[in-house]
Amino acid sequence: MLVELREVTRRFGATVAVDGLSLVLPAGEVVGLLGTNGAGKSTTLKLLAGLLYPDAGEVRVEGEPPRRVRGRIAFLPERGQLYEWLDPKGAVGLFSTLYPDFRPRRFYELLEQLEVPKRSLSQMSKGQRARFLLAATLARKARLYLLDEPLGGVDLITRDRILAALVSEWREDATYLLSTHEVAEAEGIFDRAVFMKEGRVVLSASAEELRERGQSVAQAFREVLA
Amino acid sequence: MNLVTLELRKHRLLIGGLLLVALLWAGWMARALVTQEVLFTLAANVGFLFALLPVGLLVPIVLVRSLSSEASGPLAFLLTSPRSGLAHVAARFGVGLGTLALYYGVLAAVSAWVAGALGVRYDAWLPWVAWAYVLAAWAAPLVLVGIVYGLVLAAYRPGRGGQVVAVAATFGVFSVWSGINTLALERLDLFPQLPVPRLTLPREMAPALGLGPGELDLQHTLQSLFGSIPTFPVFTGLLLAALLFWVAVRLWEEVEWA
Repeated sequence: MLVELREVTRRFGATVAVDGLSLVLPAGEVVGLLGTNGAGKSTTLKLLAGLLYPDAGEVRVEGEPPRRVRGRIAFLPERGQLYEWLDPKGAVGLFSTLYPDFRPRRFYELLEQLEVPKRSLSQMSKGQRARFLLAATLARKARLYLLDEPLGGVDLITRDRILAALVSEWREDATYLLSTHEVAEAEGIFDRAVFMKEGRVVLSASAEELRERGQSVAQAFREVLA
Repeated sequence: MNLVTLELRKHRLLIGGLLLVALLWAGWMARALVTQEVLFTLAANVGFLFALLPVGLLVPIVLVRSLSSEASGPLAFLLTSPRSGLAHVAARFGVGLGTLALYYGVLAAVSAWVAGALGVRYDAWLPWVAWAYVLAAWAAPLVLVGIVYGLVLAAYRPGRGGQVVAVAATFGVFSVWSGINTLALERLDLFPQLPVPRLTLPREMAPALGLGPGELDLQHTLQSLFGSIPTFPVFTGLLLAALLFWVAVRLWEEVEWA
C-alpha cells in the first residue's frame, strides 16, 4: 500500500480535527477526499505531507513516516502562496533546487495547457496563480500527489482546465489524493471517493462500487454527509 | 537558482540598503578628508563607526520577518523539499553572515583608509582582526538568533503571550551568552590573548587633544590598562553560534505547518 493511516488523531487545542482516522490507499488511483468544511480534509493532507504530526496513531507513505520520504510527495496547499516576484523562469530555478524530481519541460507544457501567462505572480489573477502552483506541483515526478482544494475559488473554465491537466498527468505508479467541494465537476476523474465527516472516514468506496449502488459521487456525497 | 541565490533574491533590498549606508558614509568621510579637518575627520570617523555598527542588527530582524512571512505559504514548499534542514539553515546563515561581513568589511576598510590618510600608524593586522572579531563574537550568534526566532514564529505562530515568552527566551540567550563570557573571564588563562596593537596618533593631533608635543602612543596607554586583548568573546560567540545553528536545523526538521 502506498498510503496508510492507522487510528490517526490530531487535535488543535480543544478541537479534534482528525479523530481515529484509518485509511489505506493503493498506488495508481485518483482519490477524491470529500467532506464539508471542517471535516478534517486539509489536516489529513498535511499529515500525509509530513507538515503535521499525529497526536496518536501512525501515518505511513511507502511504509515510512512522510517526513522521511518527502522527496516522493508533492503537496499543493490550499492557501498556496509563493514569492510575488517569482515568474516561470524563476520557478524553474526554485523548484529544481528544492525538488530533484522537478521536470522543467513538463512545467512549461502544463503552463501552456493551463493557459498561465509568462509573468510574475504579482501580476497574475487568483485563478492564474492557482494554475501556476498546480503546474509546479504536477511537474514533479512524485509517487504521491496531495492536492488541497485545487478547484476552490476558480471559475468553471479554469476548473475544466485543471481537471484536464490532472487527467493528462495520471501515472500508474502514482496516487493522487484530491480534496474538493466541487464534487459534481470532479467526480468524472475519481477512481475512489473517501467521505469525511467530523474527522472520521464515513465511507470509502470505489467509483465502480458507487455505480453498482446506482449512485454518482455527488449523490453519495449528499446522502452520506447531509 | 540555488538556496543561496534564493536568499540573496529575497533580501536584495536589505543587502543593497546596508551597502548604500556604508558607501554613503565612505563618501562623507572622503569629503571630510579633502577639507583637511584632521581631528574632526578622525572624531567623526570613530563616532559614526560606533553609530553605524548597530545597523547590522537589521539583518537578524529582517531574517525574522522573512521567515514569519513565509509561513503564509512559501514555507510549505520549503519544508516539503527533500533538501535537508542543514542546507536551508546554512544558506540563510551564509547569506546573513556574508551580508554582515561585507557591511562590517566596508566599515573597517574605510576606517583604516581614513586613519592612514590622517597619519595614524597601526599594525597592519588590526583592521582584519577587528573585522573577524566582530563577525565571530557578535554577528554570527546574532544572525542565528534571528533564524531561530524566525523559525519559532513561523512554525508555531505564537499569540501575544507566546511572543512575550519568545522575546524573553531571546533575552535568555543573551543572558546565557553573557554568563558564558563571565565564566570564560574567570578562566582567562585558558584562552589565547591578542597583543595590544600598535596605535600611534600623529604629532599634529596632540596639541588639539590638550596634550604635550609629540606623537600619542595609544599602545602604551592601552597596555597599561588591559595588558592584552582577550579572545574569549570570539570562542564563546562561536560556541553559541554552533549551538543555535544546531537548534535551527533541528527545528527545521521537526516543525509543523498548520
